[in-house]
Amino acid sequence: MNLSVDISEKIIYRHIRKIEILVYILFSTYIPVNYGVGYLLFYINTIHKSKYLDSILDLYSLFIFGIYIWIIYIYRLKIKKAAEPVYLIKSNEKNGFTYPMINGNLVFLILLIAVILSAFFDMYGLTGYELIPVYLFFVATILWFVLIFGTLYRSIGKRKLIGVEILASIGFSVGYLGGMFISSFFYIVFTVTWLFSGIYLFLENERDTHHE
Amino acid sequence: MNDDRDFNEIVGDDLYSSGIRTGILIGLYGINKITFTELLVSTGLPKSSLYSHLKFLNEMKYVTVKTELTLRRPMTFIRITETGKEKVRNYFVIIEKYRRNKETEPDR
Repeated sequence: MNLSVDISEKIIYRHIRKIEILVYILFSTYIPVNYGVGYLLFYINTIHKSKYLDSILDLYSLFIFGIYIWIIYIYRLKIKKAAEPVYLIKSNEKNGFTYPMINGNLVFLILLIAVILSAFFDMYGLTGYELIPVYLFFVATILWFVLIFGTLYRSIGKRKLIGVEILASIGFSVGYLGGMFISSFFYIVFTVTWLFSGIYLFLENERDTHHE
Repeated sequence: MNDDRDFNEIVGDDLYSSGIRTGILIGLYGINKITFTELLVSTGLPKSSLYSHLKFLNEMKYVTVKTELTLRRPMTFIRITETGKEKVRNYFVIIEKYRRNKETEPDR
């Protein structure tokens, strides 16, 4: 049984690593690229600032975040499905594979409500409630991070975190917390570290594949 | 009696008796398809050995092996079939039963 578990783990581990590469590259580029496009579309090309511009921007953000959340959800399902067989075999073993105990659907719902509430308050100009969706969004994103990367990092119990994964975790913590509470410029830390981790792992994967 | 039948199924089955074949099938159960090169790199098996294991799995209709044109180059894809999935599920059931029996077995 050990040989079969070892072989299946190796296959699944490599597959998960490929998903991880996509997660790093996509997450680090998706929001900055879309905000860049939004800026070009709505500000640079708008000579007379329309009174509806803020509402249009809110709808645009809602659309961008909607797709973002959906992509995260699909990735999580993919990782979970890939790692399921190893979990089934090793579930009773000490130090074996374990799923994080957070309910993914619940976090998904909180994240979605936060984004919709935020757009709703902005569109109807309701003041005094702005911080509610911000905090909801913040809590949900942190939970998502634990959920996605808990699943990703702990997907195969015996493997250790590698350097770029530690860098990505630090990049997320510093970039996201800093961006949320100190200055938007901190988001750059998140983008740069994740892009670096993604490209590094992609090149490593390509090198291994062509080496054979 | 049932346990003996399960045990005989594992021992007597050409798939279960080979850890490599079982491992490949369990791995494919989670990811559905993989290219030959990816499988070769991830398992670290010699090419000839992997060929023979895939040939067996293909003949037993547990996987399909097809060369397809992709944007980069032609690639050989290995996909798990429904029969293959059923075989893995059966393996999980037997392992689970074995585990439960072991837990309930009185200490000797």
